[in-house]
Amino acid sequence: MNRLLRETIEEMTADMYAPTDTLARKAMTEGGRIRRRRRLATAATAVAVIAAIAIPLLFLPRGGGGGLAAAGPQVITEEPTPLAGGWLVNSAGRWYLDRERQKYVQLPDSVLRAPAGDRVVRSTPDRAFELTTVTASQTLTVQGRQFRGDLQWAPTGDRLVGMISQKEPSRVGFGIIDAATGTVTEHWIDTTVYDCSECTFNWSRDGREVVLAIADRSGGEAAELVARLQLFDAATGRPTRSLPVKAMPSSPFAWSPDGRFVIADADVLSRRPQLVDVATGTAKPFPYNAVWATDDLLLVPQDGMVLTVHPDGTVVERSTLGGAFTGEKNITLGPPA
Amino acid sequence: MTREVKSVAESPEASFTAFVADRAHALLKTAYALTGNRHAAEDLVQNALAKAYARWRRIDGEPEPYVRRMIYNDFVSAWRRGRRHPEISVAEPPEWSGPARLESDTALRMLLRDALLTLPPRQRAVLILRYFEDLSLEQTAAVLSCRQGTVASQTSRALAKLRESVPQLDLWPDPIEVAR
Repeated sequence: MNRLLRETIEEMTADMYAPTDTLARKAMTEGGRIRRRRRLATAATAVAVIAAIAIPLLFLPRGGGGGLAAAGPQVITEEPTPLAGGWLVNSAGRWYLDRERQKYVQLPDSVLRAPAGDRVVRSTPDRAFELTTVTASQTLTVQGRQFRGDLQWAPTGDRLVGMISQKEPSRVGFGIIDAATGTVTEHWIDTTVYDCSECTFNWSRDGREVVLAIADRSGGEAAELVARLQLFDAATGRPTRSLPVKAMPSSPFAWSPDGRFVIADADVLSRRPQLVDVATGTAKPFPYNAVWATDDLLLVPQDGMVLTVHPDGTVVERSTLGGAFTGEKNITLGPPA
Repeated sequence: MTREVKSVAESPEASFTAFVADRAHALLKTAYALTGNRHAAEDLVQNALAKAYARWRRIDGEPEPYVRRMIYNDFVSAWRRGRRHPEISVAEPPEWSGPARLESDTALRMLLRDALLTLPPRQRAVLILRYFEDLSLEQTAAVLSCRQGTVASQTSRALAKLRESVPQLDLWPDPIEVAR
């Protein structure tokens, strides 16, 4: 019967005609649309909140203002205005907060600033990563050919996590980069048990665990649905916890300080932020992709301002960014030192 | 079945076009074996290729396994969502013509072909992967993102249904191995 079955299938497939000449072009056109949708979703997430790690420097127009406009092109002397919980705007556009001097420094290119400390990372054309500080006091180059996609800073600003993959044998896992030494530690996961689609990794709020969204493939490839969250020990790579959260948080600060709730996207392609009870998985739509500044206040960067929001979604304060940051959309936020 | 067609020196568009030119027909055959319908096969392959192109730079090495995995998973997922193609759903098993009319393997293959298309998509996918792609239990489980035990049970059920639909198969020797 094996032979007969094999012959039957082969005979059947012989009926399939050759592809049309337009197949590649059509696929590229549609693929371009998919890519643009993904970029929009990613950019929107980053601007909207991701905040935690990245959001803006808030310069409230109190005290007469004018500090930013009068500043030179390299360093802005104005001190950042504290947000709820002592949070600060970590970067706005290419202005990055020098936490030691409490000033904003302009860098020549875009980098990913750590939410704490002064480290930044940039990728190089040869698929390496350059680790340095806002003031470029130290520079370290890390070869990162095994990494795919974006890196995510640990909430403590001392490590980065990113998805790694390899072929033959095909493996997927996460790599931890020690920002001080450049050492890369690889942890491979069993994808037959922990099946992921995008396979992006992020951090728990305490930086001890790494979070992976387990795929719910019921939506096909057109959606990036989540069945649950699996956490791994960041140091050993061992699985630690499984949470009934059917959404992926975009930063370690998407988790509330008490660990009871998380703001996460149910589908990163369509941007559906939810407030999820971590213990039960009960979710309700949340109007913003926000980060938790305190147990009962969240921050949302939005169109040149930062909103302070209650967990019920009510806006309690709007802080407008002024000076050089007026209207800046690429803003990241960071916790107090 | 798979070949390295991406080159670092090529643009993504050029390497993708080369890949499609080289492998699309084979992918279409697989999709046709799954769907039993040429238009559905074209849709399935075109969608998978579009998704692959969207991530083309991130596919390191051979893209074909990645595309094939999407084809299989999209096929099974579409069924789960209730979007099965009406033209490939057969409400009743095909009529059995009776032993007297089974003059050759060809006639039996025709019956078997019809019976294959009555199988639920996951079972059909399992058989295509194992008997057409010639994948092992482990490899099939990896493609469908399920456990090897699931593959084994789906294979067993699929073969049982085929025998039920085509009783003439009982005349054939039965070296059916579920676990290779």
